[in-house]
Amino acid sequence: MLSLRETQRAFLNAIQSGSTDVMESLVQDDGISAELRMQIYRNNCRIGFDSALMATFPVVEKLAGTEWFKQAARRYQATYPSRCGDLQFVGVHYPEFLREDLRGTDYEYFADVAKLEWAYQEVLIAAESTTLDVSSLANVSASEYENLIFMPRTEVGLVTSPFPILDIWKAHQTSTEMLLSPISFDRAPSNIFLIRRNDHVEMRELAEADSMLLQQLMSEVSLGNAAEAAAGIEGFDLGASLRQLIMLQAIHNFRICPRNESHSL
Amino acid sequence: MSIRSITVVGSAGSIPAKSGIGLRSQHHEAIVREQPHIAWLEAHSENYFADGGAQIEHLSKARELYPLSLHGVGLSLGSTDPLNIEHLRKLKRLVNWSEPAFISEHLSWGSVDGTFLNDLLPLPYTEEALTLMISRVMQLQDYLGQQILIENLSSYLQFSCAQLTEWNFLTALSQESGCGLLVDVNNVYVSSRNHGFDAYEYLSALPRKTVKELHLAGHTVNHYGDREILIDTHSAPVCDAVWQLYAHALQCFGAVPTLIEWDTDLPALDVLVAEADKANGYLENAHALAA
Repeated sequence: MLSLRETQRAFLNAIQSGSTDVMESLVQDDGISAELRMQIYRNNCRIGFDSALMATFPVVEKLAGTEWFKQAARRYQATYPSRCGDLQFVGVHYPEFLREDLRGTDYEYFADVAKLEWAYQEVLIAAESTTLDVSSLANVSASEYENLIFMPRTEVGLVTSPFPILDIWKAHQTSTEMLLSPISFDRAPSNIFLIRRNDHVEMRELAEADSMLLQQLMSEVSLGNAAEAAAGIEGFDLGASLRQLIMLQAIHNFRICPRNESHSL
Repeated sequence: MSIRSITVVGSAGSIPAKSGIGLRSQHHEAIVREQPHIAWLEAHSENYFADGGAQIEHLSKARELYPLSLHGVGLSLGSTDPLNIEHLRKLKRLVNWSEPAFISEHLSWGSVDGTFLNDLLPLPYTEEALTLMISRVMQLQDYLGQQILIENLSSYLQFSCAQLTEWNFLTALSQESGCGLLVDVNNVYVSSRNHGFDAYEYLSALPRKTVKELHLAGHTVNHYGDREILIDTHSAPVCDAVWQLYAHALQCFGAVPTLIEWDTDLPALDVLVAEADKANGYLENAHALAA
């Protein structure tokens, strides 16, 4: 008799590879083959996995078509098998998978649309945080400004892409207000800011400079170092970008990096 | 909505021996708005593992209106892998703020060597599996600080190495671990038809006092040549044969809180409430017989 662990490995293998050789000897034979019985479990596993993936990436499914989406789901599941019991997380590597799977094709942008949809999900379930009390900055002396580390709110996200992914996303929503004119791929790169307000996720384009600053802040970089990183962007104005992020309620709080610490943490 | 800010207004209390329905996201707003005449709600634990946001808010509002049971589908208790600590941590956080009357999981496994199939898979009913399940259930109860209920599965195969019947396995598990049982009457029916055992004998053999909750659901019938296999799809009304078996279950266990489960092709809320009303009719008969 196989151990429980060996039995579970044989079961898993029969689901993943389709080979039921070992399971044939483990399953009671009552006129219905082990292969057919395992096929029921294989189907159930696929349905659950595909449904979770479709619920997370509905726009990718619409772009690619359901048949392609399901075929790709098999390749994805083989490459990145689920590592947790919560189906809501099966899509964590999907953008990365699509990037590899579609490299060199006309459909590379699907990966960035998936990245946007995953960020949407993350923002949707993130912990709630408060918005920066701007008056608290009044106590910071000018000599400390470059050591300020602004912390973005937890329910904020940022996705950058060379493709017009927000236009694509909007064009595939059912709401009539989202309908757009034809989408142009010959436009500036997308810097999409996501924020949850009143339990709904809002998305909007950010200017490149604002996006760069937010990216730096998300990496817990001090204001001084963030400014250096963004300095190459034409027309970059640190004060203006910071004001824009504060106005968008993207900032939760700040702290002052001690002088003996590196600016870049 | 953030978990830190939640204060549950409804009392933790107990779940009455009446019927409830599964809380599904499609019905969140309607349940809070219409407050249908149901006795309690059951939520899938993993659907509310979020750190914040709308799902948490919806559950919090529903919890203020109804007693709650949490039903897990992803812990993989019967796996030979260790229990997933992060999953346990999220479950405990949810239990702490939502104060459910019942917490349940399945007599199943779903992962091995770190790979999850995210399905409820059958265990071979061996002494080894029983020892593992007893240990895992006790670990979970210790961690959560309260009794859990274990639910029987619908299954589509039987292991030739089985040393116990499913009902003897569940009885031993409840006796050794101190867990309660959640008996899914539809699952008993589906498995009995698939494997040829007597569903009535199954229910009669379970220890009466350990059964704390019953589930009712619909299934589909798949044909393979001249054979058929019943599949537990939660996609249809409860069939007549399962209602009859439910009446027998109530004779065996007395009036027990009963849940109408429906997940696929989810109907309008009033359809679920009508099924729950039907179950209440059976429960009232059981109450009357007991009086």
